[in-house]
Amino acid sequence: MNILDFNTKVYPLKDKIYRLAKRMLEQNEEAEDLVQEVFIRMWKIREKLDEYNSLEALAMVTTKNLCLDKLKARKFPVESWNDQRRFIENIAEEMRPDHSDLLRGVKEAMNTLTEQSRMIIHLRDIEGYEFEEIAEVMGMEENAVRVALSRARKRIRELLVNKKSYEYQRN
Amino acid sequence: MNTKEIEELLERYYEGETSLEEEKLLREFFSVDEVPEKLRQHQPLFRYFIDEASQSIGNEEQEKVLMRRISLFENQVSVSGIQPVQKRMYYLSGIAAGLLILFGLVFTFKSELLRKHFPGKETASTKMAYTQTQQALLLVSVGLNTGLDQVQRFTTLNNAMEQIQKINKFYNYQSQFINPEWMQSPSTNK
Repeated sequence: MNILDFNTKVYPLKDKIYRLAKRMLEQNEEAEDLVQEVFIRMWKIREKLDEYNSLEALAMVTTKNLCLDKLKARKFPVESWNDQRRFIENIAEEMRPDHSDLLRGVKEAMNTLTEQSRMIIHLRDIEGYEFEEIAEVMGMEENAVRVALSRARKRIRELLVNKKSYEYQRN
Repeated sequence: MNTKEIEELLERYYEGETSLEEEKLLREFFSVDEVPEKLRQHQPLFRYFIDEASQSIGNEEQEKVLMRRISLFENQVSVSGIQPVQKRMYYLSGIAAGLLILFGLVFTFKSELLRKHFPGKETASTKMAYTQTQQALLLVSVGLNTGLDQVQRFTTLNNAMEQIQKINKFYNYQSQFINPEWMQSPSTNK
């Protein structure tokens, strides 16, 4: 695969990689760096890229693994620093007129999920992947994906209902 | 699509049984502002999904930066062929470190090496050191001798004092034999 092929087949995946990285790392800058890292990894194996059935699946698996590595490397003090940074970064995002409290509630609810279920619900409901594709990226059985997805969706519903009733009581 | 159908779809959605097409229908349904009161609680979730799916890595400026960084990386790889720059630097630094250690060893053991390989030079230098030390010692002794001159004078004084002492002794001895009374009134005996 040459640079031209790379630019037309791999480069357009940038937004999908970015969205998944941001979902997992919850930081814009780190997610941007991770996109580069994924591209560099794929460029390194460009000779073998034609052997893969789906470049998108490969890119997503690479993103997933790199994100999990990054999360594992994080330590407690970094975590608390991240919270502050996340807060600052998110101000701009939440100032957007269409980004209401309710949407922020969904985001918060999603962040309480485990890494695995967060990834699954992201791939399904935001990226629109088939179960088969999610199973390939996650390295799971299709059935297990379906069960995890259902559990994640119900958990979010639960959290949103609780939050709503809590706010209602407070008002 | 009526409320009843949507409710049914939602039920299946939470069980993870809806297809991608059905999920798209749900998102479309909730994307409009007029949603029946009964179903309004599900709206934020689908709105959020739509919102998130439209997110991209950033503005054009950021994208350019990204592309530039990637192309930089590409150049780095292609120019050096099989060996990336990093790898070459790795080898070079290894060689440099080796040379440094070698030079360091040569400088620290230089004197020992010279002694081993050039023994004649060594004896000449020790002889020179010996004569130099001798000269230095001589200088010290000359200094000491000037001090001795002063001491010599003191000894002559001491000798003179001894002579005086002898006279003193003699005088004392003599006084024992000479009667002081005789000396005072010789006329009384006559």
